[in-house]
Amino acid sequence: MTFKELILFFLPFSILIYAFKIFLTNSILFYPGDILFALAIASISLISFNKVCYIYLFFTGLLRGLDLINIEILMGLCFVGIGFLWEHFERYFEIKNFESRLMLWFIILVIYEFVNLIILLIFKLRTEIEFFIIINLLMHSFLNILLTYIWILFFYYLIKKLYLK
Amino acid sequence: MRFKKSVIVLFIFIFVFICGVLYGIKGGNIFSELLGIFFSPVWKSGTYISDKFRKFFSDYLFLVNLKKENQRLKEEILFLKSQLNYYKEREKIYRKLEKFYKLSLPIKYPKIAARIIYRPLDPFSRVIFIDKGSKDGLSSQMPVLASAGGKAVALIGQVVEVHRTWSKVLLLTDPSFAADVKIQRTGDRGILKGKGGNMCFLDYLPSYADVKKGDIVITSGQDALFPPGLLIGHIVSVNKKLVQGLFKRAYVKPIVNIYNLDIVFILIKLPQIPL
Repeated sequence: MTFKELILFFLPFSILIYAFKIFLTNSILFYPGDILFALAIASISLISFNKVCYIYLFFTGLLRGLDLINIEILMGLCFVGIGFLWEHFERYFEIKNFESRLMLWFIILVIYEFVNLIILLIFKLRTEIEFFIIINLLMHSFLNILLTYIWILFFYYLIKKLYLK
Repeated sequence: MRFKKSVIVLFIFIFVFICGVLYGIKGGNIFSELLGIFFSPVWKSGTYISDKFRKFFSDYLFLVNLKKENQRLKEEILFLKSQLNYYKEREKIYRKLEKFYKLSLPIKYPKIAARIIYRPLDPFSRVIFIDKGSKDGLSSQMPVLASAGGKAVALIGQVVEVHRTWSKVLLLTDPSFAADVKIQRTGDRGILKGKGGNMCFLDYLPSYADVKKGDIVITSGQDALFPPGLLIGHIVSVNKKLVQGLFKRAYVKPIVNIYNLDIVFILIKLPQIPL
């Protein structure tokens, strides 16, 4: 990803997707999963990973963090960390084909949800951790992983068509 | 040749004579009569065609004007409809504010109405974004109320993050939310906490508390954050098993459907003790 590509394609596209998410949640009152994370993962799967990608990931993390309370920058850093993991996983496991990408997406997604829960439990939740809360969070996480996985596939094909014509 | 000339002159003479006689008798003009005989079909057809032609163009122009007029009227109708909707919406908001004002008269704190600008619906954070911020006098920890179907005023959350023009409100269904509440019927106190979905827990109820399904839950005013007597919701079930062997736990459904709201009200009330 070059800086020009970031400014001209990826950042406007992220903002557009965020606007779409706002429209979706406000009109049909349904949480559509972590769209911005899906977009970030789908984007970095298709482009050659470099330092500019971290700026992009930080920006999408900030946008994602807006939905939470007071942890926008932390979410940005979390996205950067996930990008770091992606970069190394891709290199060490020699991810080249689509099937192995599917597996890696799932692993990254589970790690992300786990990190999300940790952030939530340590930084945000000001209540004692109970069985019901944990069950609730786990169920939400499961739904989140499922929806986000579908979005990753969707964005993967969309960006492939739009960007890598 | 000479004969021919004299015959032509004779004919002209006779013709002029007849014309003179006819003019004398009928007052008409034979030239005009003759021209009329030859040209009347041409005139008629010409008039007919030009009439049709003119009619066609006048109709066309009329239709064009009509189309324009139609378009203009349609636009005007649309504009008036949108204006009507706007005024209906304003009236709806006005009615809501009026109802809220009447219902909230016993609450002595000043209130600010705010519009919900975004509902993230994030499963990990039950928050809403409102269009009022620090420039409107909002600060963190202020209680947020809403009208419950125009029949009551109920607590829906608390301001947690204040920016200049917008703020985030933590809903009472968020697991981080906690408030000191009591059962209206019996006066038993407990701590209300969000469950994460659209429900709340009511913890630390005394084991002897006589709590039943349908009991109304209100704020007790003991937590220094929320004024006493604010409606919250009603009990939907009570755990038979005691928690930690000492306390009862009940489930509370908020009286306000949080995701159908468009206007909320912030109480300008700062915590009574520094936190």
